[in-house]
Amino acid sequence: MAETGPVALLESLLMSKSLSDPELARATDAVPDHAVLPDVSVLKIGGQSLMDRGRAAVHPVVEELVEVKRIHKILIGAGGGTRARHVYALAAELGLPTGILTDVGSAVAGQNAQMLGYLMARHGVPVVGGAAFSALPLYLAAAGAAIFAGMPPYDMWQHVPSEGVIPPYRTDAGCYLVAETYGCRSMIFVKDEDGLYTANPKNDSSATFIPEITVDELIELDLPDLVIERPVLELMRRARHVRSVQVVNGLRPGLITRALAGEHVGTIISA
Amino acid sequence: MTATAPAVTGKDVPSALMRQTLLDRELVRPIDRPVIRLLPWLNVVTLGGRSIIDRGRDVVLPVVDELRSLLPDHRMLILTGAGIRARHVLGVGLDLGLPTGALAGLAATEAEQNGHLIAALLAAEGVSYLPSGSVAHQLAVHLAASRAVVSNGFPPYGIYEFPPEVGKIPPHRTDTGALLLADAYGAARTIYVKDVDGIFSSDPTVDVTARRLPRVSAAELLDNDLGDLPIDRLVLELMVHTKHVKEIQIVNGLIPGNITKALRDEAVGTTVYSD
Repeated sequence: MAETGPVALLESLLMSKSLSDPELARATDAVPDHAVLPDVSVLKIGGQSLMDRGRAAVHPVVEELVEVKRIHKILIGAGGGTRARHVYALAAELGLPTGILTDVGSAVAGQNAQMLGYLMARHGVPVVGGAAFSALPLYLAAAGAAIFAGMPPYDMWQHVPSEGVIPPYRTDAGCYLVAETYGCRSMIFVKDEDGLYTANPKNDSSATFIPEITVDELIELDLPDLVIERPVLELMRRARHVRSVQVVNGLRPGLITRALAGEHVGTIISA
Repeated sequence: MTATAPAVTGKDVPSALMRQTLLDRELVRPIDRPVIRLLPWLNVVTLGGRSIIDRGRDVVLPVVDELRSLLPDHRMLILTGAGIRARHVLGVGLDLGLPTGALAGLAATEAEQNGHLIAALLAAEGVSYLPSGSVAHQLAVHLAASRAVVSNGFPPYGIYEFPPEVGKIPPHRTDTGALLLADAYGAARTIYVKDVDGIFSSDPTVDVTARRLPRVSAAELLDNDLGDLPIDRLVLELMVHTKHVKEIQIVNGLIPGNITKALRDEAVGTTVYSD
């Protein structure tokens, strides 16, 4: 007997329609989701905000990560930072395209991942990348944590921004997409501010703190500057698993642990 | 609140972008310069998966013969699409509940296999299949050694694929991958080889008055619903921002000579442009 119902409909649409077909899209929307690593949390360690500060900022964060991995399985994504900014400025001045900037920028996140890896090596935490991602479950089971470079591997296929050549999808987007694809339980951005402000608190003293906000509200506000990459907001709107993220201050000891325990200690952005 | 955080200073490398989030539009603007074309002589020719390669010998061999005849005059990056096998693997993967980021890699594998087939047919001419990493980093040397190379049309997004607006089908596929890559290299021409004569004023399968549009703007196509387009809509959306590729050409590969005409800048098929 021929199959009927939603599964058969999806099969038939897949074989007959364009992959951009709206009816096909709706049929795929109805399929139940399988979360790949549902008990894992992704933490993004900022490049400029933490790594570039060196020992004073990084050692306490590493100590806290080593502690929390006893209780929580964590994937640690590394950001870029000041060297990424330098190489972006240089490459842009040379007239090079976004694809080249993406590539050279991702090397900086790679260096930061390596440095975190050296610090966490004695605790059994590996740095993973590329094909090794398929061994993630093993690393997480054995070590409770793994480190990766946050930049998405878009290389010469990076989206072109509306203005200029700075890659629009950088380490915030890369870490977020890892969390979303693996169906992780939470996504926490560890930065050097208490969360989101109405402006950049580093250069605008009138900036006020926003403890909680929705993606729609945030897009509506159209703030001149933002604590996470703008395109992440649009990705969150479309997400199936990770519909909210928290931004916490990694310079304040204990906040990573509390955020992983589900406490509201920074800014929660939700779709 | 902030006062309780220890005061630690960063170690900066001076640059025009130093100590900023890269998100403030005003601060990022000063480094804006014209983007150079890395490979201004490059032709990116994309062969459709379902529309060309899945049709087998009768369609593929004449297309390959035509590409072979073009090698002395044109340097080409030939990209291949995924076809019916990608639909199958998407069907299995969707049924298993796999996320978009997993489906993207599975579908891309099929486009890659099609690339290996096309490259094998052109091997005697010195044409090889190159994986994405080599296309991103060593395309210049490969095209100095050979007139053409073949690669996978899918961009290497894999687990970093975006969730689509609705459902779970990976949004970045062959058409989009080819556009982004052609733009990054500043290619001279971006040609999509499909099994239709181009884009029509309405769906030619249901409307006898439908006529082929020789030139049409991406914005016009996005604004008007002309039914199923032979090109992914995401390509049209991204063409607003591309730095170099402001025109793409869609030609019918079932008609011998069309790829040649497109490479000679003759009006064939449909040219989609963006201002």
